[in-house]
Amino acid sequence: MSDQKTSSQENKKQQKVSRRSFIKRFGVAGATLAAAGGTSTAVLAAEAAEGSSFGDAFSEYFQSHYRKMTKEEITEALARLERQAKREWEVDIKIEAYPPIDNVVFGYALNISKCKGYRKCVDACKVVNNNSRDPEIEYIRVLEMDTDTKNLEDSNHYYNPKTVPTAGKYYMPVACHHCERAPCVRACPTQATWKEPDGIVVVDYNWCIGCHYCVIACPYWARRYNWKKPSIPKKEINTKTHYLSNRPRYRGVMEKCTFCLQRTRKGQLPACHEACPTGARVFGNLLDPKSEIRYILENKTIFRLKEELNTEPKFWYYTD
Amino acid sequence: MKIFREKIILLSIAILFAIPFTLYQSSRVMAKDDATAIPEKKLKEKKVESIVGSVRSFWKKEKLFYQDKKLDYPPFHVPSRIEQLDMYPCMDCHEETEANADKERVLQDEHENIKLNHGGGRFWCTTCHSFSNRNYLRSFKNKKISFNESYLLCGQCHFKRQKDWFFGGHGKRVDNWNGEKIILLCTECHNPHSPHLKPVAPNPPPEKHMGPYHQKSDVADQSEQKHEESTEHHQKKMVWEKIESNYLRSKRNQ
Repeated sequence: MSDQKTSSQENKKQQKVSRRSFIKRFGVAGATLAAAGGTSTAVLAAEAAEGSSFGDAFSEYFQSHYRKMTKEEITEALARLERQAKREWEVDIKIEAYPPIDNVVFGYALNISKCKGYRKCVDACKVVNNNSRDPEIEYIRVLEMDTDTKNLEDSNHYYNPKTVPTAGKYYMPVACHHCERAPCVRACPTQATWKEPDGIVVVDYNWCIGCHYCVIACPYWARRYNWKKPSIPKKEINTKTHYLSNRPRYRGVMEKCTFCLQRTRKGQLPACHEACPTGARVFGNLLDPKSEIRYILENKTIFRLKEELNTEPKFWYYTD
Repeated sequence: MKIFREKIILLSIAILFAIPFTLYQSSRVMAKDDATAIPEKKLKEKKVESIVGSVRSFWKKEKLFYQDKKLDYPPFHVPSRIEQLDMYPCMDCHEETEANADKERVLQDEHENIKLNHGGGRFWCTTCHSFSNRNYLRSFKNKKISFNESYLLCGQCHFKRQKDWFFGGHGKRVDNWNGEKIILLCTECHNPHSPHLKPVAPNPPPEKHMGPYHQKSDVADQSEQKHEESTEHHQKKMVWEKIESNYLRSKRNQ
């Protein structure tokens, strides 16, 4: 009898202990969940306070990767982004997501005998791609080099003479070369940057965390970062945008030249090509044997920058 | 005996490697001139040339190029030049005026703004403009060329540029990269009377991000300084390279 009593008492004690410990655990878990929920809601509330509604902030937080989204999800995301852009920039912006054209891989060539260093391409690119004006972000960097060297470290891209071209120099604009074996794509820890089927290396601005791994990986210094919220004069905002290229960006994301994919996927030429007054730039489809870019690759003296790194860039420089 | 057998094996391996190596070297010598990929038709012609004469002079290369008369260039359109000309049709005036056959005259009544700076003094107006019908240009064989086809005229002398222009290596394509090919005529960029492009002021340089304490004035000074430095640096480099080349030349002559 006494044994049974003590055993029952022990059982009760054990039960008491187990129930107590269970409640303790449950309470701790619940508190952490509440805290987590609180922080996420705090983040979303903060985003909501910035300019988007709570619902939009919620769906932005839980948006999937662009390459995994279904068509309906993409259309919803585009609608949401347009609403957010309207709230932030007070302009009706159209964001689309048309896919690449089949059997097309873009290539670009630039005639360094013709480039005089006017920098018209730089400004056209800035306007068409909704780049921040303050702090100034320019995708194209025009290097002024001595005619007897190909050493990029001797180049100067802050040149500002009265007239251009200066004697004894040649000019080489450098932007993203959209490498076939892009080091930035391999370096990105979140896969926010990838190579599309038409050869263009793109960045998803909603997925980028701004870690700068791609900046370190890129041998051509093609990447630009938004240290502050980009500022564009309202009248100069280009309202025809694409999700992957020129839609208005945020603070803390990477960006770079996209071969004007919002234009080239519709058959138009990139902005730098249209702006060049000397006709030094040639753009086209590398898979079409009758294109101009293929004629240049087969018949002209060509070179690419830093070929020894085996990045296989799709931007060639040629001379007359 | 063992050593002898090993020697035979080694020798045979060496010979086996040597044969393809020598063949490769000889083929390299034959293909030394083909630094860039050349279309097959030209390759065949080149091989014939190399058998006939081993010395491939620049003149022979030119001849080969010029024989390539049938260029299969892709079809294209050009924006109309005639619509840009203010005083077209020219025969409105020139039908009534007398044709003055003096060379090197200075235009006084009309067209005073045209200064001919093309051809080094060998050209005058009717080198390119048709004498009988001023609405047209003329070829060397006195065939009429429309203002919308001025590339036929320019291409008589600048035939290499013309070939590049046909295929996309020169000139500017506009409007699209696929579909209807529209390229700009020569005269869109080059003034036919003085074709040399003059230097132009460049767009401003990129901002220098130098931290929170810099002034805007620092940026201007810095860019000027850099410009001066770069010319100095360039001069120093030229001097050093001259010294170096003299030294190497003296070493070679020893």
